[in-house]
Amino acid sequence: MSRTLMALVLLLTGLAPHAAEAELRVVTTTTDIASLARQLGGDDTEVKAIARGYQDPHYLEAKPSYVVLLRRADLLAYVGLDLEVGWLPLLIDSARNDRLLAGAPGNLPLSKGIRALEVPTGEVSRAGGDIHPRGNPHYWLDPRNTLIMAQTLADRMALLDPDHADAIEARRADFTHRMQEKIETWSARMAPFAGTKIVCYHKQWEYLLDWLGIETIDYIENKPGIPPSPRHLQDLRRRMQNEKIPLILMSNFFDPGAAETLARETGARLLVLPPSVGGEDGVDDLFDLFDRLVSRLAETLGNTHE
Amino acid sequence: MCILSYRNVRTLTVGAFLVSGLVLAPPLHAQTPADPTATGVSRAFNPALSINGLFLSSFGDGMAAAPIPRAEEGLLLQEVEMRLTSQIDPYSKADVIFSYEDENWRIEEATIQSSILPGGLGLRAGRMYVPVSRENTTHTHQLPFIQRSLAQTAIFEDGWSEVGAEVSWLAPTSWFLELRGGVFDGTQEQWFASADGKDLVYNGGLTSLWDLGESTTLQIDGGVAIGDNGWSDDATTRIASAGTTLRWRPTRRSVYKSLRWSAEYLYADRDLSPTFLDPDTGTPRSLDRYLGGWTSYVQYQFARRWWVQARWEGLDPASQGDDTYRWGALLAFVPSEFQALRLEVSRVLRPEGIGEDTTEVFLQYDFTIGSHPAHRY
Repeated sequence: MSRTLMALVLLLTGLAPHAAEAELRVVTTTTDIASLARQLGGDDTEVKAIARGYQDPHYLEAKPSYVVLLRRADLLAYVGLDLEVGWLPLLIDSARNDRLLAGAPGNLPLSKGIRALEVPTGEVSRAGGDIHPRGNPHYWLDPRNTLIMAQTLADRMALLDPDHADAIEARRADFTHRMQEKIETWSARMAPFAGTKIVCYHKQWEYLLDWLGIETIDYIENKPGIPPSPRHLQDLRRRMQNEKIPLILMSNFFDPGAAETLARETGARLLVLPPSVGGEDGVDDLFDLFDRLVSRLAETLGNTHE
Repeated sequence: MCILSYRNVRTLTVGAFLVSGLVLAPPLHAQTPADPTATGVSRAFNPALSINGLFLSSFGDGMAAAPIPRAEEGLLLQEVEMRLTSQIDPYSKADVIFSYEDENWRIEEATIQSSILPGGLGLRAGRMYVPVSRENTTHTHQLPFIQRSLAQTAIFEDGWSEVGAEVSWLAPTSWFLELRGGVFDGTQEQWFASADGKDLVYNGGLTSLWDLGESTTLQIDGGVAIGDNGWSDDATTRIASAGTTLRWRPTRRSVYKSLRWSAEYLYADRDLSPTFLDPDTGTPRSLDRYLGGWTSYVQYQFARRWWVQARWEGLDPASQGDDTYRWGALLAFVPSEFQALRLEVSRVLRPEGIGEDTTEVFLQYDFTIGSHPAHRY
């Protein structure tokens, strides 16, 4: 067989050796964790994310092409708190990669060390909608939590790639320093809006709003994952008018139809934001994400206060 | 006297698969128990439990004839399925599915699965639906239509399950390619007639999937099963399928729209050679039996809670001259991912002399409770 033919066969079968193999192969479920892994791993780490930043991570499908990503991975870093429960267990089962099984060092839920909000007390039932028994999983939207996530991820990456442990720790320290500075800047910019009451579409912004001191009085989805009923929308409209709610906040992977109608009827502003890195053009890492969230919130709330 | 009987060979074959899963397993990393209690009464290790219920109303006109059995009319509890899943130990997990149907409980599947074999290998053993076609491994509540396809119904009725073992291999390719091979007990009376439990069925298959962009995938599936049918020493039955599925779901606002087109051909060929002389005519005659058919459907989700579907399918005219066709339309209302209401209308078109054309209407309610199941793609 000629060399040309051999090369063609290798190319077609995808068996050709990968150029410049990275020391550590990390697969993440979200782009936010991928951004963090890239910051920590630098050029020594190959990082791939399963979900796109404009995709709802609750409702991904267990596409077999994701199995191909997981098959070669050394580390799977995911959000946890059951955010990915509808698809990730099937992918891990199918990947035949013992490094990623539950309990193995390559299986890392980044919820470790995070103080989860809205952990249900008492009986847990789906009568309350698609609730998460271990708490609200959208914790990456509080930049203070990214510091904990960075520490958790850096520790595990260093364990799996001890030759680069010092470099990973140095990058983590740099990330933490820069993020802490930015948190001070963002907090100062948003301080005038603390105590503002708003309405959200889905229970998704709790960590961001908890950090900023903004209060959510109600949700368009009155039960998580369940489309709103006309009666709920009617009650919500009345309440928003009575309490002069200035803002409806939602992410860009929901249909804005109901929120637009509610905004038009109540005079509130509708703000559609990217919930993750890559959710909009120009949001390329976690710093970009919080820059975008803070600036859009400040501009919109500033206009409503005028 | 031969020490290794056929039964022993079969047992050893299945056992070898199981043992290989343990012997070939690489050293495990430290596992973290969910609840390290010493009392022995903790519920932390109970299996995850989910229950699915199907209620069906069906009405129709005319009479159908074999090989397509007519659905029972009226209101009925179509099926209750209970699934228990748990890790056995660090090496394997178990999955047991009971179903209640026609006033009887039965074990639909009971398998152990090891996914820690080296080299991209996976092992599954126990009682399972034989992966000879994509539809045959689909449980009733996961079917795209309320009724199984014509070909599947004609060949297997509800589905074909056996005790056996399957090894699969995830190829190291840049796209998804899985190859499978297995050995099963051949007790399916219609096609393998292994009444004495001696005859094994050998199964092979593949699934491959390509991403045609961010929102679209193309999948192909194929499967084959070959085994002795007991008619004579060398008489075999071959069952095979080939199918393709094209899926589209936008990555942005993915819960509101989706489209799926799927097609599958399935056939079963029972060789009853050698032929014999017909006592009436004195001419050679074969009792070979061939049944085959194709199905194709489109499923379109046009709103968050609504689907419409259409299906067109037929039996291969080579199936004893029975070129039956059926079309169907279905409307689904899905309030949440845990329940659905589906209305299906289908029209069966029978050839003259085989049976009458019939129209059937089905209304099905489907619910799921318990642990959140990961959804098969």
